[in-house]
Amino acid sequence: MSFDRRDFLKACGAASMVVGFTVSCSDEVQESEEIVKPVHDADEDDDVRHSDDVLDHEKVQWMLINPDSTATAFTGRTELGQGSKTVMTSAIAQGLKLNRKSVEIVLGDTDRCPDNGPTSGSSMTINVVWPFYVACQKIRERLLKRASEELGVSKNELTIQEGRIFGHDASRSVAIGELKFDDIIIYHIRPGNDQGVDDYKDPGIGNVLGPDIVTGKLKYVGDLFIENMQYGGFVPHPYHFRGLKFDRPNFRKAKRIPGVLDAKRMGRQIGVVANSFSALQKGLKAVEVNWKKPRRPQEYKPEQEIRKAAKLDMVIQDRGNAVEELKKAKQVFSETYVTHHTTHCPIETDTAIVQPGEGDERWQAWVSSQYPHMQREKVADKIEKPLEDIHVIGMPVGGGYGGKISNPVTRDTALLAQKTGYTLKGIYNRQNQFQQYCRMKDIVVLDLKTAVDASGNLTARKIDIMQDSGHGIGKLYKCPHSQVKHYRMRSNHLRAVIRGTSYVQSIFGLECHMDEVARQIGMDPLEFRLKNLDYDAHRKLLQNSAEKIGYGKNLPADRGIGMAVVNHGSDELGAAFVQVRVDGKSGEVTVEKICGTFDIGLVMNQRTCRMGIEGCFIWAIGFAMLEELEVDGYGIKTTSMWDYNVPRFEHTPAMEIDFMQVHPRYGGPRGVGEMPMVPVIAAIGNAIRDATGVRLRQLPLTKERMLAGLKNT
Amino acid sequence: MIEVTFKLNNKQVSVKSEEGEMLTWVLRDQLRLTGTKWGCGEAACGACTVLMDGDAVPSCQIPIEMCEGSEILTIEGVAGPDGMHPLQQAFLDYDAYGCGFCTPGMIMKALAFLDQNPDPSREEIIAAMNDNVCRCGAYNNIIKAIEAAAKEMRKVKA
Repeated sequence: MSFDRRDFLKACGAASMVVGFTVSCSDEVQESEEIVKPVHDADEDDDVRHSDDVLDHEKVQWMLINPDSTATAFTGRTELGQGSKTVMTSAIAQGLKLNRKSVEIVLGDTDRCPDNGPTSGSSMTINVVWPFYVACQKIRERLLKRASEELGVSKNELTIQEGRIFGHDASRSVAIGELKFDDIIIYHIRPGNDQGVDDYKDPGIGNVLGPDIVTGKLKYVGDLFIENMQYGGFVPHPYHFRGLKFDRPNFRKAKRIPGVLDAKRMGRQIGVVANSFSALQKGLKAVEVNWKKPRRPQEYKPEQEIRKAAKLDMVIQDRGNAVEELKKAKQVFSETYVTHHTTHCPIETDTAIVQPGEGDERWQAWVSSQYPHMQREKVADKIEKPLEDIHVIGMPVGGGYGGKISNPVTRDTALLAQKTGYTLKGIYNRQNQFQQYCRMKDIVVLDLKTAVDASGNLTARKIDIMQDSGHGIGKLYKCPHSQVKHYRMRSNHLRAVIRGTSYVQSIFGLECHMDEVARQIGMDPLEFRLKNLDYDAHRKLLQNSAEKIGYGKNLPADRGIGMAVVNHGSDELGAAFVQVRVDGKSGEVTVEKICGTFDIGLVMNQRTCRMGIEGCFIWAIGFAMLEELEVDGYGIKTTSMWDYNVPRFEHTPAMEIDFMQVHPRYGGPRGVGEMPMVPVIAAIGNAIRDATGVRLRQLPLTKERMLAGLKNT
Repeated sequence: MIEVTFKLNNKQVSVKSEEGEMLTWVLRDQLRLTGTKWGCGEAACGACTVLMDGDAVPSCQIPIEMCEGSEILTIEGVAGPDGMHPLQQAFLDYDAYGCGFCTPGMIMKALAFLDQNPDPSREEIIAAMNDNVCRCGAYNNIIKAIEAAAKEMRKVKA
C-alpha cells in the first residue's frame, strides 16, 4: 500500500505543482478537494494532513506539473496492449490543454507509483484514465486562477494552450511550469463524475507504443539483461491436483550438464540455474524426481463431481415464488449447460528478473505483471524481507488476459535467487505455462428451468449455477418469479481469472436457454428477447445489430444466425449477432460474421477500443469452439501449444462494431476489455441451432459434437 | 564450441556457440537482438520467425550451425535508412497488434510471403500466416495491414 516516499518527495520538491486524486465508491467520501502540506512543513498542532499520511495510507494517484511545463503522471497499473498509455496520454493532454509529447506516464514502478489495484482491461479506463481527465480539468482551473493573479488579468479572459496561459493581449503570458504551488492538492473524485465529457475529443491515434512494437524495440522483461544474470527455471509437475508429493530430487545428472550452475529444491518447487536457456531446459529434464502419484482415480467426471460436491454459496436472486410457480406451470423448459477448462495461453510465457540485494542493498525485480505491487508483496513474503527492501518494476506485458496478476514466477525466481545467490531471469517454458500451478477456468454446470405464458412472456424461472459465480444473470430479463442460486465446491485446481470472468459461462447458459425457449414455443428469438428484456437499451442494441447482419434475410440452408445480449460490470451493455456456416458432412462450423453493438459510454479512443473488441470476438470463437485443456484425475495433461487450439488467422470472421449511447446512465467511459466477448459465445451456439436445428449444450462446440448432434436428428 | 559465420541484417557476423544452440538464443542473448521473441519453443506460435535466405523460419528450431554461410534477416533489419518499411507502417496504420509480442514474427512472416506473392487475396494471406498466433486476436487488422502493405510495395516497385 505504501510506496517509497523518499524518491517521490524528491520529485515533488522539484515540481511546480503536485496533485493527487482518489476515486472512492464509499458513501463517506464526498466529491471534494483537500489541501495537504508537504512533509517538510510538518507541524504537530496543525489540523491539516501531511503528505506522509496520504502517501502511506491511501490509494492516491499522482501527477506533477514540472518546471518545464510538462506533466508526469504515476499509476501502479501496467500496459497490457489494451492502450492504457495511449488513452492516458490523451486524457491528460486534453485535460491540461498540453501537447501529447509533454505528457509522461510512469507505469507499474512500485517506488514511484501508488498501488491502484490490478490492471484488468475493463477497469483501467474507468478507474484510472477518466479520473485523470477529471482531475486535470480541476488542475487547469487552479492554474488559470493562479495565472489570473500573477498576470493581473481576469480569469475569464485567459486561454491555456500547450503549457502556456495567455491573456487576450498575447504579450502577457505565463508558462504553467512557472506557477509554483507549495501545497499538495488532493481531489476526491466520485466514480461516475462525467465532468468535461462533452469537451473530450477522440484523438484518433493508434497505440503510442506502436513504433517500438513494429521495429522490435519494445522491451518486455525477457528482453532485459542485468549484469551477471543467469537463467532460472522450474521442473514441471506431472501431478497437480491436491497432494503433490515427491522424494528428495536427485540433481547429480542435471548438474553434470554443461552450463547448469545449480539446482535446488524449494518446498514444492524444484529450481535449476543455468547459463543459457538451452542448458536450463536440459537441466530441468535431467533432474530425477520420484513423484508420488496421488491416490485418485484417473477418470475425471467433472459434471458428476460438481453436482455431488456443490454446496449452496449464495442466493443471487429470489423474486416472487419461483418454485411454486414452476410447479403450477403447464409447461416448463428445462435444460443443462456445461462449460470447460481453458487457460490464458499468452505468447510471452511468465518471466521475471530478480536481482538480490547484497547486504543492505534493496532487491530489484523486473516483472511482466498486471499488478506489480502484488508481485512485490508475494516476493517479500517468499524471501521473508520487508516490503521496503524490494523494488518492483512493471514492464510491458506480452499478453495478460487475467493470468499475470498474482502469477508466481516472480516469487519463485526470487526464492531461487535467494537460495543460489544468482541474479536470475526466471522463465517458464511452455509446459510450465500450462501446468505449473494448475490454473484454469472452471467448469460450470448451469441448470435452467423456465416457464412462459401463452403470449411468450417469462413467468417463472429457476437457475442453479454450480462452480463459478454466475455473474450477469440476474439483470437481463423481466421475470416476476425468479430464483437464481449459486453453488460452490472445493476445487482441486486454482480458479483462474481469465478474460470475461464468469460472465462467459453464465451468459452462455442463459442466452442459449432463452433462445431455446423461444424456439420451443415457436417464437422468433429476437421477438422473444425484445418482449422479455428488462432494459430498453438492450432492445436498441439488439435491433441495431440485427439490421447490421441482415437478420430475417433468406440464408442458404447451411447458414444460421444467432444472437445474445450482455450486461457486464458497471453497466457495459452489448448485443451481438453471429452468422455461421455448418458443413453437414464434416461437422465443421465456420463463424462467418460477427456484428456487435455496444454501449460503453464515451469511447475515448476508437482505434485502440475497436482493436480490443475485435480481440474479444476472436477470444469468443476460441472459447466457444476451439480451446480446451486436457484434464484428468491428476491434473492438466496439456503441455504444448500444438495441443491447445487457440484461434488463428483461419478462424477470423468479418466483423462489424457499432457504438451507441442508449443507457440512461450516460456519462464518462465504461470498460470494454471483456464484455464484447461474452454475448458472442452464446450467439455462436444459437447460430448453430438456427442453421441445423441442433442444440449443443456442452462447450467447446467442436466438430465432433456437431457431427454427433447432426446424427441424432 | 563452434564458430559460425553468416550475414545478419546485411552485416557479416561470426559467433561462437555451443553446437545445437538455437538461433533464437544466439540472436537474443549473444547479439542482443531481442526483437525476435521466444514463445513456445516448438514452432507452434511463430513469435521467433526470422528470414533465412529469404524464407520465413521459426528460429527456435534452427540450430546455429545451420546458419553457416546463410543470410539471416530479423525485425531489427527490416526498416530502411529512410524509416519504416511499408509493412511496419501498415501495421501502425491498421493497429495490427494488441500487446505486440507476436508482432516481429508476424512482420517477418508477412515479409517473406509478400516477396513470393506480391498481390495476394485475403484467403491467400490467411493461409500463409496461419502458423503465427496473435493471442490478443488482432488478425483482422493484420490481414488489412498486409493487404495495404502489398499495395504500397507494388507501387514502390512499379
